[in-house]
Amino acid sequence: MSIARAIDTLILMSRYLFKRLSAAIPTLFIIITAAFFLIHAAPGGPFDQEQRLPSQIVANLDTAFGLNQPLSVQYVRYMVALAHGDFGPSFKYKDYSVTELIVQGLPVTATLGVLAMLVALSFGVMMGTFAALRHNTAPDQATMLLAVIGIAVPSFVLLPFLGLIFGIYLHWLPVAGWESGSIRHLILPVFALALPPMSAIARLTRSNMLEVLRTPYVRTAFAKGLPRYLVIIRHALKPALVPVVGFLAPAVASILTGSLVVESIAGLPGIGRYLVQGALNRDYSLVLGMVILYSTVLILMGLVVDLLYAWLDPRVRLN
Amino acid sequence: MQPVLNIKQLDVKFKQSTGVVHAVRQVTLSLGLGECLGVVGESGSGKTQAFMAVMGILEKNALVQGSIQFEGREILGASPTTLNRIRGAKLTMVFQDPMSSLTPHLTIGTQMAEVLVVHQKESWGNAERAALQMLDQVRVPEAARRLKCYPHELSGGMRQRVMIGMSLLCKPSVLIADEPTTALDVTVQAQIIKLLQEMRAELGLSLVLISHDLAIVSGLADTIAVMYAGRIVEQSSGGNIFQHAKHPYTVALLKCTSDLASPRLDRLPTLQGFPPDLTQELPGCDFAARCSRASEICRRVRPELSAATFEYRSLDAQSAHPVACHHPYES
Repeated sequence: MSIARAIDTLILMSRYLFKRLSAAIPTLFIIITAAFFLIHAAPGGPFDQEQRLPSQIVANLDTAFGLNQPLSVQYVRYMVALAHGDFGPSFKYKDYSVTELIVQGLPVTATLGVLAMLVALSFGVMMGTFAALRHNTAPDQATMLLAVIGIAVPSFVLLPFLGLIFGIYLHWLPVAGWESGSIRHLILPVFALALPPMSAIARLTRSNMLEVLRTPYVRTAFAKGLPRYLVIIRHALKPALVPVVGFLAPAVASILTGSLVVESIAGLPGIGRYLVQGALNRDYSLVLGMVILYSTVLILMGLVVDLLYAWLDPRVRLN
Repeated sequence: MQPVLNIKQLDVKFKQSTGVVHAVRQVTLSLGLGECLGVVGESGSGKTQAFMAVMGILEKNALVQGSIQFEGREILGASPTTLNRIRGAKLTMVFQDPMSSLTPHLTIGTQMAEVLVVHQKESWGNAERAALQMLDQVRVPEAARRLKCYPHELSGGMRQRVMIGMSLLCKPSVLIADEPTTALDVTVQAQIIKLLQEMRAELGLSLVLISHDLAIVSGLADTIAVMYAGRIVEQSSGGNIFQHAKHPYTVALLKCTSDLASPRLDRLPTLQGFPPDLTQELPGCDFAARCSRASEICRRVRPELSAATFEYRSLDAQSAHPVACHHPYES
């Protein structure tokens, strides 16, 4: 009986995943098309520099990269190559393909991003719950003050400040560098990246937890004689997390954009800088490659969010 | 004989930004073994707050004074750990709204079983088996399937049966039912009342039935306490209250009971005016402003409940009939 039910759930789940993932393809198609024409509409090209190249060389380069062709032809050629998994060569980083650049830097950015997300979620939820349980007391107000600071202070201020204290004055942690991802080098950047979403999650958790603590079912749980920690963990936490889950996609976006700043300041070899630099350099293929990567991450995050909703609340149906 | 639950001079106050709300005032009640006590009053009369105080589940801003003895032990002011050994096991409560009183993301089985896991250190497997038996006992059809259901998959009446079953798992000596039928439709109401009656007989429960509906209470209760503005204004056996109500408030409440058999009225009878502001202390009777029999003295001097320590068993049930009124109706 329960095995049959589990198989049913599995079939339902895979059917749902298949449906959602196939729905992502037209979304991605529209994003790529819009990004393609937008970046090409920007004035200038990848080979415009302060010191002008001889026009013959520019013409040769344009021919070599196919930039002398009509835009529609370039678009079709790009999409066909893309369909074969080829993101094209970078215009700026000579001898590198976009795929190579991303594959090199992605582990750094992904490590940073995933760790920051985990820190933001776990500490944010703990801080929010802690504050809610001590509603209107000094610890509550201190936690919320910290959260406001975390939201207000940008990472390009926070990271140098932390580096100054923990790196230069206290000599506890390195100020910058990667050292193939040693934990000591990761702590400050991860924390700087995690702080804004962590603060937002703490505030969200607190206000929702306060609401849930006043519901009749939490009163029932207390009336059943359950110890307080069981009431919180088993009865109150899941419903209090529902709005937090809704914040996950914006949090991922904030971490993706934040990694640009943090990686530059801490000198990390990630991909955070490629999107903005690529756009400034008119490195068309690199920008498009980054757009595709970030959109895919955000679309997948949307899917994860919906699955989490269903896990948190059995009244949500997946279809 | 020692009562199971003995409440003496209970006061409940809530500190709010607008002032102190004095919700329960000098309430003295006792409940004997196997007895059923009905507590009647309109919304805001303090009937629910008084028993939330007994369970120790009032909001944090509540200040509770007086004495609450359960099975001879003082439980007012007891630590949560001490209270947690009693509530949910020996002293249980069923709430008004079964729609929102069960946790939405846990199955019925989990919510019932955890009571036994926590109180009797049962394994989850044994606890679920006991929960299954209990669902049968409270007449939930297809109990095995319901055990795996989430609350939203059950009807309101079913959920209230689950709530009642959950409160009976540890064989409590006192069950407090707070408006157990108010959120249900009329036919289901009757079934739930019948269930409470049966459970009381089967398990020898002492029952507190809180309701605004005199008709529902009178069918079950041995004694009825009528509350108004946080105070008990009249207390007697069910029959006495119905046939020989003394307090003008009780009489007015009885007039408001709709009767399908009587001729159709253009307007349903209602009580004129509003209950008093509970942040204020009136010198006289709280009901004077709405009372047709009120005189000068009612506004100046508060009438005391005529037998302040009313104990059902110690007096002749038919004759004991305290009332807090200067001009009671004579029977």
